[in-house]
Amino acid sequence: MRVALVTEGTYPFERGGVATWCEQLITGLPDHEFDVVAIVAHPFQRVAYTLPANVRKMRPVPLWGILSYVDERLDLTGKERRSRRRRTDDAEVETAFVPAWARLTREMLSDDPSPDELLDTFLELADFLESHDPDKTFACRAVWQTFADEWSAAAPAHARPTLRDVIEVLHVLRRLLSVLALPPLEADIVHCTAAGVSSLLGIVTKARNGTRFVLTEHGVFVREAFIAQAKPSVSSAVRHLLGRFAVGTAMAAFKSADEVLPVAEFNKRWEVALATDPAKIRVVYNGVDPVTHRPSPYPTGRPTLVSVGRIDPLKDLKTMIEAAAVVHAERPDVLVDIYGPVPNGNEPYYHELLELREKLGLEETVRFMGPTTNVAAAYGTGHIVLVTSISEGFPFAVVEAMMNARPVVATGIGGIPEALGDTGLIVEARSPDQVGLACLGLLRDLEKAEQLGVDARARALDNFTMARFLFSYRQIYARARA
Amino acid sequence: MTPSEALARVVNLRGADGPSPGLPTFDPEHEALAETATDSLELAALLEAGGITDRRVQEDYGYENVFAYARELFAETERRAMVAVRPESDITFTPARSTARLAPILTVLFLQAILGDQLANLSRGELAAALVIPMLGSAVVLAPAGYLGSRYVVCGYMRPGAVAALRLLWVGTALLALAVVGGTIAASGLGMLGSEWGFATVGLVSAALWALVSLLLTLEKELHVHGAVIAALGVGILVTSFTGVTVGTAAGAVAFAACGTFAVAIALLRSPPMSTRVPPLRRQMRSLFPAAFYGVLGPVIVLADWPAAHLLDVDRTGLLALTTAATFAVVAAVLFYELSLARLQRSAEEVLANTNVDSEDALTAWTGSELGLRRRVAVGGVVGVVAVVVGIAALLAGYTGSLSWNDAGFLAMSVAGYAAVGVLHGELLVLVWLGRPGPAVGIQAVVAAFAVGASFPLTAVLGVWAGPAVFLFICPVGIALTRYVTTRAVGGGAYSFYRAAF
Repeated sequence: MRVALVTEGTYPFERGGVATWCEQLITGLPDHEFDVVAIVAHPFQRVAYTLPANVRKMRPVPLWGILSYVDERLDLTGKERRSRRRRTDDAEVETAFVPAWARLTREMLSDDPSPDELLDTFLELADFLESHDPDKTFACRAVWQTFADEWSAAAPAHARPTLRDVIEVLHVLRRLLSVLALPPLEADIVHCTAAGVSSLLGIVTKARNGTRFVLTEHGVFVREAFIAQAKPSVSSAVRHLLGRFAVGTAMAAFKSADEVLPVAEFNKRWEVALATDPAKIRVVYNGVDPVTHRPSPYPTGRPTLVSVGRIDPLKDLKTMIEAAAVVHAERPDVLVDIYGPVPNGNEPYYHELLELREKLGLEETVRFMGPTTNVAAAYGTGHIVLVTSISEGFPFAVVEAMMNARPVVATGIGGIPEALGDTGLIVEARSPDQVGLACLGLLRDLEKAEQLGVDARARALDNFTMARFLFSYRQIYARARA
Repeated sequence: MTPSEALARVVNLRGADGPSPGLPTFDPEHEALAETATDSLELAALLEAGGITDRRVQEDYGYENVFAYARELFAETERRAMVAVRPESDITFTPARSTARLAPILTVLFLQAILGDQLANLSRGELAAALVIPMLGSAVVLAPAGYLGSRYVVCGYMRPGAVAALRLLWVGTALLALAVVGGTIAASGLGMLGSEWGFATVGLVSAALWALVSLLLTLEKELHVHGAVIAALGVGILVTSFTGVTVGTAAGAVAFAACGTFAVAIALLRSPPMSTRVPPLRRQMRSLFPAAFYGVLGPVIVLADWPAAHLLDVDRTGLLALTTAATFAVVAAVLFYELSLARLQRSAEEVLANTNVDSEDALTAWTGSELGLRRRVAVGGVVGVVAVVVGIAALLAGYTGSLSWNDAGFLAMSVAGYAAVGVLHGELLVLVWLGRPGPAVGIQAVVAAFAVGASFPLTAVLGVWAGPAVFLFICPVGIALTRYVTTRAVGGGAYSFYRAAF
């Protein structure tokens, strides 16, 4: 069985929850061969994981930082590349590309976009781009003019584009849509790990080769795209258009996929809201190895709160630090140990956290421990595990903490309430007081906290084991043979 | 409790599709959020990120879920458009940084000119020994590294192979630096036997200097620039020993070539990191930096070569005054360009941000008229200023007799050629909209270095105007050819190796 696993900004180049999930899946199914296709930002990233033996090949697909998309097609001969360039002239683009391009723009911006229409349009664009030069195509004036006209006509009053917006968005879109210029993947099943541009490869592969296409959603791609765009440096028009593009891509992907596999029931709400047939949605929870995450004795020393995860605004560590201040006011001996790397680009956020810690006078209380390879040991040192995220799928941090028999105080975001059930404390996001008070409640009654951890492990053993996770995917892959 | 039951505890759907009587309709904070939202789904996402759950909207506002609440809130709120508040241009006016960067360039340049003067006392054999040994050392180390990298790539281990090759290259460059030193020591030995002690000293100083430059460039991974520096030095001086151009002049020109490539490296290292937002616009403005660097360094070459070629005969006070004046002129010019480029970028952004797509023929405004005109003025300004300054410097050198008219004209044309290549280079960046221009510029630097080398014999054979004119032809053609060869003829595997390594 050959699986084409398509990742987007994660495995094997970036570490994190999704990358861990990919590694678990590949190493857990050694009888399956994997071709990893990694959509990455640029070609200069380095592989962060040692690829297992059953990864037959790994192909990075950079969206930015390359000279020419045709030159990236190493499967083409020089003659084929020349021929693609030659046949891409203005007349050809206007006749064969622009009509579909106009439809895509219109449909994306429609109040009620049709998944069927979006799917057909993406496939039509893919047919053209695969056999032509994408760079020359998007340099064609008609493409720009059509896009500007269609956007301008359909934009709501509060998000009317300026010329700068058009330039900005089109340069992003042409990079994202370059994925459509790739040939379909050769595999028994294509498995995409996000409903973003990576899923366009699944769409094309299914349409051209009839390959079964399954789609796992970790976070909700559309939701995270909206959150990522919502910042002052992005104009309303750009936010609107790129948001609609994310919606359009996800709707087409959900329409095309044979199975949609969110990691939590919570995510289903978004998938259903994006017109996905509920019958094809099936939740597959993340799993954790109960042997690796064997509980250590409950600690008896200084009260310690532990957090494991990357330093990222989505983890809302400011709330965690502010909550530490609440706890510190009653328990000055408390320690808050934050384990996790600072990913590239998040350094400013890390410095903001350090400033906040200093401002609150918590230098001796809140400790940034850096990345750790022994996650279980990190959990083992804590009386309570904290998760203050504002956006999550089904976080490993919660399930791993449960498997390590530690009580969890976490925000009721994404799949966290499903994971914890009644074996942890759910608080509202961005509420330091609630987090702090929940922690204090547990620290006052450590016996109860310890029992909560024991219950959490029992729940994790029932529902979130690695064996169960792998069994589910073995079945899903087996259906491709049927 | 199963996970689904746990979820039901949170999402306890009531089946209601609207607010229950007696509950507040919307939270004022949420209304503020809705004012700037562009889509009800975006609003739902932002509400969730703010901690709003289905249970909360059911209990507090009586809506079925966050989506229903966001839909209603979005429909009922009057929206206002958000104009992007973009960070201030990162082309900043930083006199201290610019001066700090120019100082080592000027030092290298001046010392090279002195070296050129000293080398005039050497025989051709001694010159060859001093230059061929380091070049051979470079070939011995770098060629196998490239070969191994290609082999690994062909075998399919593209990235590990490239990484391995990159490490080899790093080691190779360190060894190369040692080879330069070793080669020069060997040549100095020859100098001790048959020539002056002075050469040995100058040779060692120069070797140490180049080793330092190599190391700096290696740290920045711009190995091609390093290669270009060595090549320019070697080819230029060797060829010059057979021509009518004075060795002092040639050494100055070669130093100029080296500094030019160094300047390109610095200019590009200043390029902004890859951005998903407006890369072309910012890069368009950034692309003028090489032109500015080339342009302002040119006159310094002429002025530095002048005292260096006549070091023993010229009044030292005058020499100091000239050098100081030249340094100040360069710094002032660089600062002027930085400032004007920042202004240009701001005015370009104003044009774009204030042009509504449906208000006029917008694409023409972008590609052809207003912004295009401003840009052409900027490019023309760079070339024009360089031409004027170079012309004055050449006239000065010619009239004072410190250089022959032939040499002064040659240098002036070379400088103008470099300025033109700088502009060309910037335009090329704009055209290809590179995400990270390092590799392409590395290739271009090599081409430019060889073009400089080739211009010497051509000048000697065809006269003072021929070399620079051919040089102007070689650069653009060389750039195009190199790119073609790299991406196609050499093959995908080697190209991927190259790309991955840099």
